[in-house]
Amino acid sequence: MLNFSEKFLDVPVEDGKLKILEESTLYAPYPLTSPQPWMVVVVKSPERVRELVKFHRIKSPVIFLFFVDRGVETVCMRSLASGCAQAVNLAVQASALNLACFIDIDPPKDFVDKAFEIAKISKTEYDLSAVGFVGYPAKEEREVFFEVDRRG
Amino acid sequence: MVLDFIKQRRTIRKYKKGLIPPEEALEEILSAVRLIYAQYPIPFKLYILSGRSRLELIPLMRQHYSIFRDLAFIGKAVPEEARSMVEKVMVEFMKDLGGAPITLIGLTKLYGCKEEKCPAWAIRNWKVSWMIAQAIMLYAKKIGLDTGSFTCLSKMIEEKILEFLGERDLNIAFALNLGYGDENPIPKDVEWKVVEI
Repeated sequence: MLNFSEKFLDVPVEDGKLKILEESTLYAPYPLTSPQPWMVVVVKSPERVRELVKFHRIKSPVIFLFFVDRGVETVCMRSLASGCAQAVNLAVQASALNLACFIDIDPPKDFVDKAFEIAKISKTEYDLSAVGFVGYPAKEEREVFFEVDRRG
Repeated sequence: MVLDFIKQRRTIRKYKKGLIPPEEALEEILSAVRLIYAQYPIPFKLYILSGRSRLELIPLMRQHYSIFRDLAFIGKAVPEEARSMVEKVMVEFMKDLGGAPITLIGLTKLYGCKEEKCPAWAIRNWKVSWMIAQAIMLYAKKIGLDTGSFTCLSKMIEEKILEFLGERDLNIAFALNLGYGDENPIPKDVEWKVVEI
């Protein structure tokens, strides 16, 4: 159900699929006490994409930028979580459409600066919580283990 | 279809009593955790509490609720007109944490997040933990289960829960109920906050 990839084909994502991906990002949890604390900017024009990927090792035909309201400190942490949850929605939905996704939650500073610049979003009001690179994939798989303690 | 369960996922506060998710469901959910963790390795541990362990958690969470309620009301995080409704829902929920058969607690290292300048590694751990939480919630929905986060924890209660779990070095990132929902929450109105450039 989740298809992560770091390499994408140079093939555009169809507008119909893009709309579904966009809609999927609207349904992430967010703090009870605030309105949806985010703004999603979808970079799809080839020139804009080229400008952005100059600052990142991942190259994809579409890039989702998940900006979240800085708000007050405690809400801010929760907003960051909302932005990452949106990115997971994107990854799950992309996989269902035979696309793949790479989520970067800690992109390079130059990339972040460029993202704010082309999105025309204020750094004083928003944080860039996550970035979703989307496209048709070249896939790789890995096995992982983590600790689970089950009681009861 | 995937979009349907993404849209239908809501925070559930009331669960069908005695209906326990099958073992395969938990395996499916753990597979979601593995997929995220594979991409973003962080210090992370997942507790799956059911039966007696879960029952022992309830009184600790009740204390948390009363502190949370006081802070939320004093801080005006809950509007005046919504307070009696919130109070009623939460009192009911706190009797047995909604009656869910399973509670999942995700732990990571967050020390420093309460400081003025939160370190980048702690923010990363927090973000990955919530990606894991969201993956759990979506995978659960996909296989017909419901979830609900009740994570807002005060420092004092967090310490008690960590002591109960026997954990010293990690912090609580999220707490989620898992089970079969017994309520129909009002559909969420969402604003289309997406811009294409």
